[in-house]
Amino acid sequence: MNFNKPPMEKLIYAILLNKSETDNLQQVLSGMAGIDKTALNPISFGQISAVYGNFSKSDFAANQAVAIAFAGVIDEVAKHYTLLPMRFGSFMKTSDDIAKMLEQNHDGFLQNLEKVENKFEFGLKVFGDSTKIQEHLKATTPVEEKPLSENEGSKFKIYVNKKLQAHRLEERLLTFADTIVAEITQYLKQMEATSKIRKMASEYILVDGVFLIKKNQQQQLVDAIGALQKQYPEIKFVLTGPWPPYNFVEVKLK
Amino acid sequence: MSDDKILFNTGSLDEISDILGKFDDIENSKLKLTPDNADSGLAKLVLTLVELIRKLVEKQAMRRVDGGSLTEEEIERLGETLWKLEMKMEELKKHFNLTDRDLNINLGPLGDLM
Repeated sequence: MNFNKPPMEKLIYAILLNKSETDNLQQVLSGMAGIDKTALNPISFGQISAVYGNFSKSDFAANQAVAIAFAGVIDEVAKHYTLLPMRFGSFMKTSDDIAKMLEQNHDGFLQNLEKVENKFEFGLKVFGDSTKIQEHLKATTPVEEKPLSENEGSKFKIYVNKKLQAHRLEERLLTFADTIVAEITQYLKQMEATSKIRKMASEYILVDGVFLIKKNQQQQLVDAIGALQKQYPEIKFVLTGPWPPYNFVEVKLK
Repeated sequence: MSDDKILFNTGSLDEISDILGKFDDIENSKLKLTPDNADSGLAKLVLTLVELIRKLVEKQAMRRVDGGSLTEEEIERLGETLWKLEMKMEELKKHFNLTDRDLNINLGPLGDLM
């Protein structure tokens, strides 16, 4: 029987920008803890560093609680450094492997880090029941729509007419979502934000967006969303953040 | 998600949970193919694709009707075709014990299929 402890691998949390030579990353990390209160360690190459913890891969449970803890560690480090969050469960065998990975991908990491430097990600979800909004639109902005035919005729024509009314309502809902997206985009443009926005992500989510904006513009964003909420009380705006830039990193590891 | 991550919300966290609770069905709307349910899983997959195509055809047809480019006779024939397609689809859903929600597969980050 083998009583040896399983080998400890390196769980990488994030790659961060560490430009200042006087900055003591090790000291900052010593005040924090990784998953299961494990220590956080840095490995640096040039202006970038990886933050990792020693963890036995066989003991690593890929469940929701651990994923939240993993995100929590990244969130804590992000308060001090510009970083690129690593995918949940990113393991490497040794610290030499991490050093090699940093060296091989230095330029790509640096380029992405500079893109997100001093910025945070924010998430916006605009909730609304599409059926209720359609009813609201019908009641508040009635549009004279000509019926299919003055003489409805057969049951098939009545059927098409019903489908046509539903189609027109759906088109109006999409136009409404477009209007909301346009309003949001206008505010974001003023903030020179980078954004990714999807409309009608589901029956209940009219708009689902993520934005990358400068850290000092957080209040401006909150105010803008507040103004939109006042303008459109029939839907519900929920803004979250600040988050590490989960949606704005494009690195292909070599 | 902790409270301090919510920067703007006019309601309560419970209210958000209520809205998100409506997504409980998302788990059911995922395709879960296993050796035990290969038949019904495949039926769900096939019917989902058929329903998607049917809805796309319907949407395109309504655009044409709304554009006013069809004659009364063409609308009549179109109505009959769409009606028969819908009835056939209802029949198939009933046969395989599937609902509209079952056929609206959740594509994760991409949202719902339909």
